[in-house]
Amino acid sequence: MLVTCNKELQKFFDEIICQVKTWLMDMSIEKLVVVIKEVATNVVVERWQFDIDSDKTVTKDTKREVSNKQIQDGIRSVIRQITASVTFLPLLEKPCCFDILVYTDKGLEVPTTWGETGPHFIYNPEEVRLKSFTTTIHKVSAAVAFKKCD
Amino acid sequence: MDSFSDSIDSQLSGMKRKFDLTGSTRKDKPLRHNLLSDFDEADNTLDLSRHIERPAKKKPMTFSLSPTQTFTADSPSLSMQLNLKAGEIQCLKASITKLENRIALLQRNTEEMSIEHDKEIAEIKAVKDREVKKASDLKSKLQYVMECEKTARDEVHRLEKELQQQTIESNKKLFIGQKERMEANEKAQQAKAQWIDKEAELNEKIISQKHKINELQNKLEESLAESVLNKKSSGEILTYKRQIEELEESLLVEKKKVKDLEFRFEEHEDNIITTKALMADLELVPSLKSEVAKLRQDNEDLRMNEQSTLRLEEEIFGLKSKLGQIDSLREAVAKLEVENEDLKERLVRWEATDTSGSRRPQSPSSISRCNHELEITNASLLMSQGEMKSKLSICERKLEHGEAELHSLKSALATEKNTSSQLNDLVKRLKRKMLLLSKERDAYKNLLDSYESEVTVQFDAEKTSQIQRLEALVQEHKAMAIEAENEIESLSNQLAESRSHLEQAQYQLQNLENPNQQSSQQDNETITQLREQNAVLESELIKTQQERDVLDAKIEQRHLQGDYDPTKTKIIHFLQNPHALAQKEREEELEKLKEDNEKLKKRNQILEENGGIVEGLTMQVEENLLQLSPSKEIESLKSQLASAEKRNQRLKEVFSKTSKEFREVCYELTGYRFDIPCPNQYRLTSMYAERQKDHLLFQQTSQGEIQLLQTDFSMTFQDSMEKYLNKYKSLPLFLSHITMELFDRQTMSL
Repeated sequence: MLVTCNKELQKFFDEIICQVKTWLMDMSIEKLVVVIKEVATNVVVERWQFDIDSDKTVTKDTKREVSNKQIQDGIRSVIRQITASVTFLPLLEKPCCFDILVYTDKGLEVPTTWGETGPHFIYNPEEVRLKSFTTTIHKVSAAVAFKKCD
Repeated sequence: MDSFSDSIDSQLSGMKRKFDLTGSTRKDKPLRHNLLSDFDEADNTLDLSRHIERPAKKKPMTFSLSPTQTFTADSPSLSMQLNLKAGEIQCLKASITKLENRIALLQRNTEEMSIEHDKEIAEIKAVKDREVKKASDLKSKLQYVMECEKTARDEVHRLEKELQQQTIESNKKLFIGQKERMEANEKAQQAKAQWIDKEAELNEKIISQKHKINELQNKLEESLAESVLNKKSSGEILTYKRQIEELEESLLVEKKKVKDLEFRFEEHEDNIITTKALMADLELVPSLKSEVAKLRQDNEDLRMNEQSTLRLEEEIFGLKSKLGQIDSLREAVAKLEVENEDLKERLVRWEATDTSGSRRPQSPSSISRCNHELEITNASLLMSQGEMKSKLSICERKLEHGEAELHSLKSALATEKNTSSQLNDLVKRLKRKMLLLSKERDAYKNLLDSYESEVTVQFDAEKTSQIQRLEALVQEHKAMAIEAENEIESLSNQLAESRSHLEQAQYQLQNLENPNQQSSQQDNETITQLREQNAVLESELIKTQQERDVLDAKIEQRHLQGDYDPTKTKIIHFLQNPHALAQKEREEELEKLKEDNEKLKKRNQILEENGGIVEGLTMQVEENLLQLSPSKEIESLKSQLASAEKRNQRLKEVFSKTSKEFREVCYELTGYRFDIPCPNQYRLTSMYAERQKDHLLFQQTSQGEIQLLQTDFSMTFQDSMEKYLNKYKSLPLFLSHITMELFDRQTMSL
């Protein structure tokens, strides 16, 4: 596993994670997508999608017992799959950069640092479904879509 | 102001001169106006090119005139020359193109220059306008300041006047105050005198009051003594009152006693009455005793009587039962008598009937005997009947047997008949055969005869006769064959008919046998149809399921591609995300590179123009870039102008809108429409005006006063004008009066 030590990137992630955490608690998040785009042409080349299926019947008072280990195992298996996906993903030859998209409820009020954007579809994509894990409240199923090699 | 405009003019003229100077001395300043010098050089080069071109043009002519003459003499030198010329031509062409390029460049430069000049002129004009504006502003300010000063002076005058007035007033007030003080002193003295007088009066009054008090004290003492007396008398009265109360109480007790006594008396009287009544009752006692004795005796008698009556009743009951028994017996006796009579009658009849018989039974015994005999005969008859019955049954059996035999015989007969008919047919056939044979025999006999009379008889005749006979035979055979064929035909027809009958009969039989089969057939048909439909539907179901699966797969794929429902969800991202930042950086870099590119291009151009040796190259490049910028500047200015115009337009729109609203509100509130037909003139048209033309016209003078101008409409309000404008000097009053008047007129007319 590679972990970034870029301060700006860390700051960015801190902000994103903090916001996403509140949305997760509100059950107002549907998907979290990491998009990888070419800087020069703005073409989307990879699209890592994490569908979050939240159990909306859950209130503040409901309590469910799931062992921490079970959840962590689920996450670990997903990460392992992601790292292993290097084997089938096409090489990124041009300089690329990433963006994080959040699919939320239509009526959600968003802080001013956030703005609406498009779904960033890939032209002529190929999809691979990855593993999923659940906390019994949120079920996260991962998938990756990438541009087919010509 | 004039001086200012003069100065601007002088400035302008100075600038022009400068410009002219720069125009005239451009050769002296190659650094700044090197382009123009270039242009001169270009002219020179153009002249040169012309010089060069002339021989170039002339030479080919000479060549064209003598190609044949010189070609043979010295071709190598000629070809050399030709090559040289061609080279020259190429060179010249290149120079021409270069020069053309330069001309284009120069033209561009001149254009740019002109644009610059225009711009400068425009700027200068703008500066001039600005200055003019400033001057006018300053003028207006000066005027304003003057006015202010004037007003200030006026105010100072006024204030001084006010001060003087105030001082006078204060002096007056002081005087009045002193006067008042004097008066007050006088008043105080008077008050003192009055005070002393009043004191004396009061002292007198006090003395008189003291007298009065003494008197009143005396009176009080007297009254106290009286009150003591009164107290005493009141104590007596109290004792009397108590006595009276006691007496009253005793009286009440006495009255109660009296009442009790009266009650007793009444009771006593009642007792007396009762005792009297009791005494009367006591007198009646002895007689009552005797009566009691009598009654006891009567009672005993009555008891006795009762017992006797009970006994009698019992007896009566017994007698009644006996009587019932006797009645029943009587009835039975009567019945028996009737029966007896009946029997007697029967006996008589018996006797009468028996008289007719030969054997006269004299008694029932004889009858019984007869009866016995008859019974015996009956038994014998029964015996004979049984025998007869058995015989009858035997006969019946025999008959049945016979009938069966008859049947068998009949069938045998039918078979016999059949055989006989067959035999008959056979006989017929045999007869026919016999006939044929006989005929043949005859024919053979004839033949034999003919053989016998062979010698005598002619053969031809014989032959012909034989032939005839044979032909006749043939004819008969043919006829028989036809008959047989007819028979066969008829028989075959019958057979076909019988077969058809049989088939019909069979069909009917089948129909009769299974009428239910038809309905079952229908059911079967419907079942098969339904099965087919079922099959079709199943196939459709499978197809639709497949389609659904396909669609599901597509949806899944779309989902994986990141599709979403835009009515329910939205996609957001952090604005300062790495990609956006990277892109921004890239754009900036691109911009920078473009700039650098531009700079380098310029540098290159300058180097090319000056043959690679230039001093202060970067300076020149920057200058050039600045010179190039006018087009950009123009563009930016144009965009600014456009935006300013747009803003102006918008402001105009807003202003027109608000002014319209304002006018409408004014119309609604004041009842007058305000129009401005020409500057400083205002036309007011009332809401209640009878005609469109009825309006008032006002003019604002330069002093700010508003004057009413004469119109046809205003002439109709002479009186009110007199009253409100001349007397009260109030336009609003006048206007409202007109409104009221017009309104009254309208309502009147309504």
